[in-house]
Amino acid sequence: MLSIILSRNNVFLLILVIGVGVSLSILSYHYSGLTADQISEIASSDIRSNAIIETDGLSKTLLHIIDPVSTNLEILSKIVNYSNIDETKIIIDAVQNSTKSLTEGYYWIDENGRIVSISNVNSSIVKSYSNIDLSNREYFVIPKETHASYYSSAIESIDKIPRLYISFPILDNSDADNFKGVIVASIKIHELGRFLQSELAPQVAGNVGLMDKNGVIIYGSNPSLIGKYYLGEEFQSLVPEEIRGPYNSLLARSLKGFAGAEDLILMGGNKTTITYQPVFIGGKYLWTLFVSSPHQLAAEVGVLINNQKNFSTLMILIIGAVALGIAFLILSWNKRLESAVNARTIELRDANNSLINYNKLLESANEKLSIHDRMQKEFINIAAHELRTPIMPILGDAIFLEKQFEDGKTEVKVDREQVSSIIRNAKRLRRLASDILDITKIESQSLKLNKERFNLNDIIISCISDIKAQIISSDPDQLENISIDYVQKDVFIFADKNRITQVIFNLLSNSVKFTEKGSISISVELGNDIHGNNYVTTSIRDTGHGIDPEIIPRLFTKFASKSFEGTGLGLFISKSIIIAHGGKIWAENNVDSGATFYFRIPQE
Amino acid sequence: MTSEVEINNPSKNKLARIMVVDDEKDILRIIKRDLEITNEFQVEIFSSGHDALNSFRAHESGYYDVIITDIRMPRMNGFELYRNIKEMRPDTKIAFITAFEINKDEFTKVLPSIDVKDFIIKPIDMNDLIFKIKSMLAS
Repeated sequence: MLSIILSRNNVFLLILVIGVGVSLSILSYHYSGLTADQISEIASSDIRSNAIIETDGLSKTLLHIIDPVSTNLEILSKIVNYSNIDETKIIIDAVQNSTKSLTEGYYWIDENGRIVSISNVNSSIVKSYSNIDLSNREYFVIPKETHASYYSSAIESIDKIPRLYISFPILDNSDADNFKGVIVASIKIHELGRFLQSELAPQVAGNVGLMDKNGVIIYGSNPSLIGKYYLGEEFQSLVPEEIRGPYNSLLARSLKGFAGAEDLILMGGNKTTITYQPVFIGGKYLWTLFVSSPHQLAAEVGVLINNQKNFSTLMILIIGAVALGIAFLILSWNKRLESAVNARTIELRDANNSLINYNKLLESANEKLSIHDRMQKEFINIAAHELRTPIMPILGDAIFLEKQFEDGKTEVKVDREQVSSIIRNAKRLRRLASDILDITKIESQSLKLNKERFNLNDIIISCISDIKAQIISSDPDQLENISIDYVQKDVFIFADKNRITQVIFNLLSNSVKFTEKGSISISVELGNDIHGNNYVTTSIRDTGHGIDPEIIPRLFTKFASKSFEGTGLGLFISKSIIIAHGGKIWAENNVDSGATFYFRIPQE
Repeated sequence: MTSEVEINNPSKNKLARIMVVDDEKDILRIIKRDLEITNEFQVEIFSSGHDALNSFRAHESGYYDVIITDIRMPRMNGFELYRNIKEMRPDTKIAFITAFEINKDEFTKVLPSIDVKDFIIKPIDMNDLIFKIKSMLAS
């Protein structure tokens, strides 16, 4: 079926349908893609601006929770009284209670680095710590050296909990240069982180990170990285290779003390906006706050749109396939129609042909009819000629003689020529009458044979003598110019004697008619066929004109005569007689001159 | 076949000379006898077209006043004779005698210039033939 359908035009049509389908699919896919990109872009920018706002807010929150701690530390650093430790401790405890959501505790350390008091820890336990030397700690050293507050990075103690320390120097009220110790607040970074994380709007769905100005991670979602330098091995090993470059340069930029928001494209095309905001405490840039916001929504929108895109593309493909199928069906239907039309055309052509054939048959029938008509006319013409011609001399002589009686004579003189002319012409009329009668019999198929046993030799001899008499009567000179040769032979046959005589006489008179000068020879041969039946073949050979080649094919039909007298019926009658005897009649031109007529009939 | 040329009788010189051509000798005999018996015509008879044409050619123009020929004859038929004579002397008066059923269409097919009135159908009534010949002589 495929090969039938795939004609040149159809292939073109199919390719067209496929092409249109595929183009539509590609267009739709592309357009959907564009839309998806646009929507995800809008979503991304929304996320980005949200993240910026959120980060800014978060940094303020951070400051807002760090500020009371700083304030507390500052106040404590001014009011601590070495002479009345217990009273001061009450204040320290109260301070701790005021910021306990964030701070782990407040520590009072003297100028030698020894713990004086710890918030909410009773003095007996504090005493057990009194031998711990903290003078080498940064939160001690730096305020001691700078006489300024100190904000640490993430520091891990022995208990492996990262902490943030803020410390203020205790300076003598009267002599600011007199360092008398530090007040330290420790903040558990986890607490801070959890707080910040909880402050983050849930829509942002991001993570909070905090890094100090040197690039050390204070807080991150992965606790193991706290306290690690961002370019260090631990951190870097966790950054995916493909984003390491942009990520590191982003972090480097974030440490310059400016706010920013940058997109990172992660593996699989997911986007994350990283927003960073510097945190200034006491006018000094200390930390950078990070919020990473994955473009979950954009990605979801992207996924939705991709689904949509895939769905619509699939739909178009399905529609294309259906269209293709329909096209295929229509084409095959067309093909079937076409072949049906072709079949019908062939039928019509056949019908037409048979009509043409029928017409040809009709034509040939008409032709036969017209031949028949012509022959009929010919017959009438010949009959007219043959009837009228002999009448004239008979009537002419009779009228001539009758006129002589008008003179009152009772006897008139009649010469021999007049009498023989009347007889000759009357015989001619008789012959015509018998020919016409014979034809009538033959054509009505009522030619009856009266068979008897007789000697063929006898009738040949009598025919020869009759023909000679006829020649003498009509043209005595001719008899001198032709010889009729016959070697007598007794051959007995069982046939219609009169009819066979008629045939022989007819053939003989034909020969005489066409042989003005020369010889006519008659011979009789006996023979037998393969079945052992005996046949008698009689031949009459002349040295006359021969048979016109034009006539030969219809020699034995009616009116085939080329002669200028006679009815043209003789050979037809002869043939009919011979066929009635179960024999055969034929003729051929001799090699030298003249023609030979043969007839063969069964002997018995 | 031998031609039969009647030798003219000098006493009949003023008579109209009629050539009659037919392969039926009995007819020639009757026509010759019945025409000459009127003492108005001198008849020369020929049993073939060839003999007739030879005689026509051998004589001067106007020798034969009227020619009457059969149509169906061996070798040279009446039409051929007509053509040959008309080619030589177009003003020669020729009529046909025939035993055929004649209609004008059939003959004009063969010889368009022939008028159907120039056909005389056998068997000929001698009075008709004489009348016909006389009208031809008069025209």
